[in-house]
Amino acid sequence: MKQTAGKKNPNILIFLINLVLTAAIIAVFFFNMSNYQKKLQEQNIDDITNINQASANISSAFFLNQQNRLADAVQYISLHNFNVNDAVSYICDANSDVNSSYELISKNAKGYAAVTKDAGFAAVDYSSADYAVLKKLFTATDTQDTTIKCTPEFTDQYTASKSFALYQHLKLSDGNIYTLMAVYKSSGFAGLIELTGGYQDISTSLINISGDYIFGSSSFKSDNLFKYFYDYSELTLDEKNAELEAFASESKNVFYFKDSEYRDCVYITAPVKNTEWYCVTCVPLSSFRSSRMDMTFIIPCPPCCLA
Amino acid sequence: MKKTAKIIICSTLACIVFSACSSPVSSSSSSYQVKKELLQADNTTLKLTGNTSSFKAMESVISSFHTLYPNCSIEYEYVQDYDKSMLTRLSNNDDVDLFVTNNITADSKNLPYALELSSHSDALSLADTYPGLIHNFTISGDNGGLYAIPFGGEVRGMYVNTTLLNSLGLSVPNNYEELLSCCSTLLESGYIPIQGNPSNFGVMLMYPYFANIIANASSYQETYDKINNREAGISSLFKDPMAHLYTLVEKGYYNYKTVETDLKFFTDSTEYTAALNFLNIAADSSGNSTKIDDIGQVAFMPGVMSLKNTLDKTKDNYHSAIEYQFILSPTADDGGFAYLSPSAGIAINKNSAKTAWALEFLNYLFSKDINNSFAQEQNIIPNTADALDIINQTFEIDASHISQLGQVTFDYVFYDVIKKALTDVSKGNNPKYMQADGTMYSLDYYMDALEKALTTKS
Repeated sequence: MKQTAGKKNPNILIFLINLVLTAAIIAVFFFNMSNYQKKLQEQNIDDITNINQASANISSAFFLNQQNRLADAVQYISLHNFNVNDAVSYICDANSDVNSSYELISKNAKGYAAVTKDAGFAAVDYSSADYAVLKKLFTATDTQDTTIKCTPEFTDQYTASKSFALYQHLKLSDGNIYTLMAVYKSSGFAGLIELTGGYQDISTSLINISGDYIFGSSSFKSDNLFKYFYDYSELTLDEKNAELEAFASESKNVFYFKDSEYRDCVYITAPVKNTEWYCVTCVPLSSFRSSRMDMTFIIPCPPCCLA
Repeated sequence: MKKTAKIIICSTLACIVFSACSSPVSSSSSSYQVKKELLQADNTTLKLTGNTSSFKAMESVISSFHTLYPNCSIEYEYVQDYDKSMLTRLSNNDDVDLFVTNNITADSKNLPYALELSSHSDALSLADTYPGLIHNFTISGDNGGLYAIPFGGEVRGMYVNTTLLNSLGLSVPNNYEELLSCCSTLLESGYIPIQGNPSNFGVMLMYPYFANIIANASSYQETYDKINNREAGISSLFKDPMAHLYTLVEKGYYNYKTVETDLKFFTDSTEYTAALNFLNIAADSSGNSTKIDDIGQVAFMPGVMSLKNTLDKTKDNYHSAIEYQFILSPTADDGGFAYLSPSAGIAINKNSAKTAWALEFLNYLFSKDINNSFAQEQNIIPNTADALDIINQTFEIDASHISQLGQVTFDYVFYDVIKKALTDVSKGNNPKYMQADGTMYSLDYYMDALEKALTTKS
């Protein structure tokens, strides 16, 4: 009897020691795994930051190039004191870029695209209430301000496609102020700046300091990034404004919010050099490399050890 | 014993490993069955265009559709100056697969670009939809057919500022008499009780009453035929709603000119303006909109049910504490009426290369459960077979107070005739439209004009 009891006790002891060891192994696994996950997360954020910076650099180069073209056109038209017809005719002949079109708009939000149509030029009309933001730009009359600015994204009246434009005001021979816009199709520009970097469902957009989209990938909803956060991440107005303030002051450039599919995502912003734009890249956290804690190895450990 | 324990542990282990390796089973919503053959198709992206900068209800449907079909993405694009721009996009066949549209009629400019849907009954099931709404969107005649499907139904009613009513010790009116009583107190307290842009105020407030008189007449067919044949004397059918509107205007309970001049409210008929004005938000000297107070100056504002989205958003944006509720306008002695008319709908670009996917998306959107959730988020009545029951339950009214557009569709545009008559009455207390002696024209004057408009065949 005594012998049997003595044999049982060591078995229980061995079992208990195994149990403690197993618990220790699990704890170590968890500790290492969470550290590893943290490092991976940081690595992913660094990668996306680099991708976003690359997109910002491309955008900057694009802007500088297009800025020069527009500035040249404005200078030439001003020097020759063209009227509307001459100005549009000149731009029409001079523009060889198939990805852009020029539009000359008067203060009443109507004008012409520099494209020949029916022995004249294609008329464009931005007087609809939907173009309230553009209409404000067209009524600005300061021709002394020679800086080239960018419109928020809009539906181009000539192509009816989602577009954005660089613009400058100029005075023509009739003494009136007009706005010359170099219009780019968003879909054409998307191919330039949307770098995947191996991340699934990555999307990139350009915004101004208010969060309005200059160019918005279709993954970015609403017409403003922070309105998008507000809508889909159920923020209060104060929270939205606080995030916008943090972004505008450049005290924060990494944001964690949901996307339109209600997936948790990271949004990383970076200023675009020589412009007033910011580049923002969004990646769902589920697309992070090895972002999930893999439990399939840990779970079988205890039974194995116990067995 | 030890061996048995090992077997049990190993079996458990195997189960755990296998369960960890197996992929999640794709689910399908209860009233929609996933088409397995589509799951094998190549990845594709559809473009859906619409006229609102944000369309959350649709985004939710798009998202759940993508969960079922990971190989199909749908992008929603907001198109400005929608009608004009869409014509350009469709005529160029430029990246549009599905588009939001109002009813596509025989003379619609978009008709040549819309896919005729009823001839695709093998691929498109509308079994869960409400036949009345589908019928409204169906064009009859030689080149007829169904070119768009309404998302659901709109109900016209009235937004009541309960904060303002409570501040004066008033409660929400249930019938015309109570409405008049509320209006009287409000007017005495310095408010113009009912407000709205005159271009649609009259029909927004009173058209459900007109529709109900026809749809729930003791002999519907007889009444319908009389109106359809434009028989003499038919205007007398509508004397009560005309008289009720006339009284509201005559007593100054609706006085758009004063509102336009003094408050600068309701100067256009957009939803955005309506929401700002109802919540007492006005532009300051710098042009920025700011909240004036948390009580408001508009007690009653006619509008459609889906306006609630804009109101809720505006209330939130401007931190307004004004409380409101949507009721059926209590324009009759026994309460209000629900008139179901189609909301905006959706069509497929017939030149799209992805019509099979587009049709499948419509199958999904118009399956019962999905359309119910969509309608709830969009604040409309769902396009489901039980649409009328839902109205009944939502507003707690009986069938004799419910009508729908199909019941009041005639060989001529009856709606336009009534709209003009009601608009004329609603403008009646504007000095510009008064008699030379500065008094309002009589009710008989407006009734005669209505009779003439209803019975004159063009």
